[in-house]
Amino acid sequence: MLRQADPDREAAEDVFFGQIVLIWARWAMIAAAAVIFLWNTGDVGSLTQRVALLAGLMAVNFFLHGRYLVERPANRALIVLASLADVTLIAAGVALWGGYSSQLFVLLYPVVFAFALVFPPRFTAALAVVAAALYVGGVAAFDLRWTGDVQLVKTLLVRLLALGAVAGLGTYYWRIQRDRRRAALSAALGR
Amino acid sequence: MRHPSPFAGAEDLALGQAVIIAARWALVASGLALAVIAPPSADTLRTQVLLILALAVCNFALQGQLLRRRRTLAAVAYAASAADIAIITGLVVADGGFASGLYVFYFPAVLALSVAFPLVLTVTYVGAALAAVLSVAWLTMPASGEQDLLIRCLMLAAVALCGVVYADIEWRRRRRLVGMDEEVVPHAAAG
Repeated sequence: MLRQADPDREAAEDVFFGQIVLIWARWAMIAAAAVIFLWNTGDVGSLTQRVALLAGLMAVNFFLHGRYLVERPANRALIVLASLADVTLIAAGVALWGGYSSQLFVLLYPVVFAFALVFPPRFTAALAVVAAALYVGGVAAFDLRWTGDVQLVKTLLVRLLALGAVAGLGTYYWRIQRDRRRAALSAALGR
Repeated sequence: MRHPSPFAGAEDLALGQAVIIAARWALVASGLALAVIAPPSADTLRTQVLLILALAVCNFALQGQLLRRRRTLAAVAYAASAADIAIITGLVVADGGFASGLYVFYFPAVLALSVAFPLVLTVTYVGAALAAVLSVAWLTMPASGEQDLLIRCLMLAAVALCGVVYADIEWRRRRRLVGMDEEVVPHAAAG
C-alpha cells in the first residue's frame, strides 16, 4: 500500500540510501591523504605515524561501508559526527602542513557536497559554516602573513565562496529530487 | 542502469539544468565581485569582465527558457556546459595559470553537470575539465606542484563521482517508491 510522503520517514530514507555518497567522498579524501602522506614524508618515524593515521581512517570507512553493504547503515548522529571529524581533520591538516598555501582545502568540497545531498538544508548550512570557520582557523593558526596581501585575502574568499556554492547547489539538487520523488508518489497514488 | 529510457534522461537533464544554471549564476556573481576587488592589472580585469559578462548573457537566455517552461534543448545545455569549462579555463589562464586560485570554480561546474547529464557525457565532460586543468598545469606549473595537481584532479573526480552516485540512488529510489510497497526499506524507518 502506497502512502503520502512522511517527512520523518523521508529524512530517515535520505540517510539510509544517501550515506554511500558520503562514504565515497571519504574514500576520495583517504586517497588524497595517502598521496600526501606517502609523497611528502622522508623519514621512517613520521611515515609510520602517518600510515597509522591513514589506516585508522580506512578502518573507520571500511566499517561504515561494510555496514552499508549489509543493509545496516550508520544512523544520522554517527554520520554527522563522521562528517564533522572529516572537516576537522582537513582543517588540522591545513593548520599543520602549509596553512594558506596548503591545497588540502579542496578535500572539503566533496565532503560538504556529499553531506548536502543527504541532509536537510539547515544541517548542510551548519556544516558548511563549521567547515569554513575551521578552515579559516587552520589557515590563521599556521600564520597570519596572508592578511597583509589583498590578493591572498581575495583568493581565500574565492575558496570560501566555492565551498558555499558547492553546499548550496547540493542542497538545491536535494530539494529537486525530494520534490520529484513526491510528485512520482502522488502520481502513483492517483493511478 | 542510470538512464534506462530516453525519457528518464530528458527529465534528468531538464531538472539538472536548473542546478547548472544556478551554478553558473554563482560563478557570474562571485567572479564579477572578485574581479573588481583589487584587480592585479587593467588587462586582467578587462579579460575577466568580458568572459564573465558573456557567460551572464548566455545564462540569462537559458534561465529564460527555464522560466517559460520550454523544453530543454540537450545540444544547447551540453554546449553551455562546455563553454563553462572553457571560460573557467580562460579565467584561470588570465589570472596566472596554475598559481591562480580561480580553479576552484571548476568544482561547482563539475558538480552541476554530474547530476544533470547522462553518465557517458558526465565522464566526457569531467575528462575535459581534467584535461584543461592538466594543460594549464603543463604550461605554468612550478617544479614542486605535482602533488597539488594530483589532489585537485582527484577531488574534481570525487565531486563528479558523488553527483553520479546520488543521481543513480535517487533514480532507484523513485522506482522503488512507485513500484513496490513501503516494506522495501525496513531499516530506513528505524533510522
